[in-house]
Amino acid sequence: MNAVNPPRPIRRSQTVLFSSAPLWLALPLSFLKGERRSRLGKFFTAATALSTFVSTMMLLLAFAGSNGASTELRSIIAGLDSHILVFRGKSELMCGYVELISTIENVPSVVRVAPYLWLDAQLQVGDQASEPITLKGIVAEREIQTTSITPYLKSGNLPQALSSVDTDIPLVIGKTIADELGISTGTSVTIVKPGLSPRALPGKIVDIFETGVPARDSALAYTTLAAARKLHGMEQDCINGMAVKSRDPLTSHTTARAMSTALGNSYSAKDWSETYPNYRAGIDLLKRCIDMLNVMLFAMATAFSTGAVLLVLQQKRREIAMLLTLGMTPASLRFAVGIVGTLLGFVGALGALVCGPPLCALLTQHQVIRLPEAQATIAYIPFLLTTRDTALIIGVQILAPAVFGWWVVGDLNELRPADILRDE
Amino acid sequence: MSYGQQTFYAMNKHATISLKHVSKSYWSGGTEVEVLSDLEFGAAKNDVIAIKGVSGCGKTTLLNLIGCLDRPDAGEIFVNGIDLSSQSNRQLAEFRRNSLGFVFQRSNLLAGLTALENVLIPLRLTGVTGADALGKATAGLAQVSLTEKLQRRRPSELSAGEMQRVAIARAIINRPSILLADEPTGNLDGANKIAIMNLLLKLHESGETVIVIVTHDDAIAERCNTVYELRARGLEQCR
Repeated sequence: MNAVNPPRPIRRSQTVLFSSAPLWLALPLSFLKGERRSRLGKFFTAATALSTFVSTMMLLLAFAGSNGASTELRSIIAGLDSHILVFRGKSELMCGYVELISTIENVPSVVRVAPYLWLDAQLQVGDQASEPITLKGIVAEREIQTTSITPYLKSGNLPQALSSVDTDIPLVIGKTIADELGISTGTSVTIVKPGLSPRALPGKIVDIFETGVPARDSALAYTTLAAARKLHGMEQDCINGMAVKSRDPLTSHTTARAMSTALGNSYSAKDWSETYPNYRAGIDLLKRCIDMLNVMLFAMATAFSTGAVLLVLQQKRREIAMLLTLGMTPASLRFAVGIVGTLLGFVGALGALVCGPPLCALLTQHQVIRLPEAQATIAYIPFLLTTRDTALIIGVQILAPAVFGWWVVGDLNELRPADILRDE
Repeated sequence: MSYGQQTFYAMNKHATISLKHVSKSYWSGGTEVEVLSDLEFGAAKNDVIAIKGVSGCGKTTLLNLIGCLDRPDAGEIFVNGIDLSSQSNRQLAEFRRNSLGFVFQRSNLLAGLTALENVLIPLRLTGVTGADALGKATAGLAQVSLTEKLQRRRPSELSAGEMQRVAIARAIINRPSILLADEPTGNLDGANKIAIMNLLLKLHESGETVIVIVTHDDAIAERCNTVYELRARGLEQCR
C-alpha cells in the first residue's frame, strides 16, 4: 500500500471547468496545479516563476539604466556648445538672418536655432582690467533651448537675468573672471571693445556661471544681441553665427549635412563631433559596449527563465508520455507544453512589470548610481523605462520559455512513451 | 515452426491482433540487445490472454509494440486490420485514443488531477465535453466501485488499489477493442490483486474486448483463457 495523504477538498466547479475548458488550457493548468502537491514540484514551479521574475527585473533595470545614461548624454553632450554651428565663410557677418533661421528650422531633426554675435572684449573695474574675454551676444530665450547654460547659472534663469537691469550692457560672466576682478552680481563695470576703433560702455554683472571648464569660466561672458551690436558699433542687425540644437546629438552630423545642402555654398554647418572627434568616438564605443552588454544580458536572462521552465517540463516527462499513450497527438501536447511555459513566464513577467517601474523610480529618486562630488551636470544616472523596452522585455520573457519549451518537446515525434514509462 | 506459431497462424484468420516476424532490439551500454526475434502472435475478439516470462525477456516490449507505443525493427503488426507500420504518429495517436486502453504496473495518473479528471482526459481527447463527459466519467468510476467522495480526490490521496481502479476506469472509458495491461497487479497486495483481476474479467464479460495481460503471477495467469510464455525462441502457448 502506498502512503495516502489526507484529502484536501476539491471544488466541484474545478472539475466542471476541467470538463468544459479547452484541453490545451485545462491540461497546462493541471500541470502547474499538480506541482503544488509535492515539495520538489512546488520548488521547481516557484523557482521557475521566480527566475523569470528576477531575470525580467534584471533586464528592466539594465535597460532603464542605459536609457537614463543615454538620455543624460544626449541632453548635455555639448554642454555650452551647441550640436551644430552655422557660419558664413570664416565667421563673416550674416545680416538679414531671420530668413536663414526659418530655412534652418525647416531642416528635419532641427529643434531650435539661436543666433549669436561674438566679439573680443575686456572688463574694467576701477583700475583693474580682466584678461581678454569673448563676449557672446545672444537671444536668451533661444540660447537656453539650444545649449545647456541654465544649470551652470547661479540664478538659473538667463532670460530673466539679462532683462533684469536697465543698463547698456547686462553681463553674465564666468566665475573665474568674477573671482579675478573680485566682483559679483550687481557690480557695475566698464566693458571695452579693443581694436583699431576701441569702444567702452557701462555694464553691470547680472549673473555668474560656473561650468568647471577653465577655458569657459575665465574667458566667456554673455550679453544680449542688441548690447553686443551696440558695443560692436554695428548699425545693421547682423550676427556672425547660429547655434543649432538637433533632435539627437548622436546623429547631428547627418542633420548638419542636410543643413549645408539647404543653405547653399556660402554657409557652413559643422556639428560637434567634427570639433571633438575623440569625444564622439568615445561615446560611440561606450554605446556599443552598453548595447553588447544588454544583448548578452538579454540572452542570459532568456536562458535563465527558459532553463527553469525546461526543468519543470523534465519533471513532467512521465505525464507527457502518459498523455501520448492516451492518444494525445504530439502537436496538441507540444502546444499544451508551450502554454505551460507561457503561464510560468507570464507570472514572473507580470510580477516584474508590477515591481519594475516603482523600483526604477526609487533608484532614480535616491540617485543610486552617482559620482561622488561631481561638478558636471551628469552626476548621476536616472533609470528611465520606455514603453517599447518594457513591452519587448516582457514579451520575450513570456514567449521565450513557451517557444523553447515547444521546441524542446519538438522531438515528441521521436519520443517513445514506452521508454519513459519503462525507465522511470 | 513451433506448436505455438502454428496455433497463431490458425488464430490469425479472424485475429484482432496479428504480429508477423516481429523483431525488436535495444541499445544498452553500447551493445545491441535483441529482445524479440522473428516473433509471431495473434489474438481474436473476446480473448483474455496472459503473457508470462522471466524478467527482461521482452513481455513489456511486446505489449508496447501491440499498443503502438513503440515500433518494431522488422516484421508487421496488424491490429483491427490496420497495418501499424504504415501509420503516421498522428494516426497512431488517434488509433490509441479510439481503440486501445492501457493499464500499467504504476497507475501513471496525472498528479495534478482528481480521479474524476483523470478519467475525463480520454473522453476530452475524443471530443466529449461538459455534462456528458462528467456523467460518463462518474459512471465509469462507479463501475470500478470508486465512491463519489473518492472520485474527487487526487492520486496522492488514494491507496494503490484505488489508483489502479482509476487507471482501469481511464483505460476503458472509451470502450476500447483492446485492453493492454502490464503487470496490473504488480504493486498490489493479495486482496487488491484479486479485486483488480475480478474487475478486469468482469469488464471482459460485458463486451468483445481483447485483454492482453503481462504478468509474473501464476494466479493471475490461471484466470485467463489463454496463457503464453515468452522465451528466447519465441512465444509458446502453455494453456
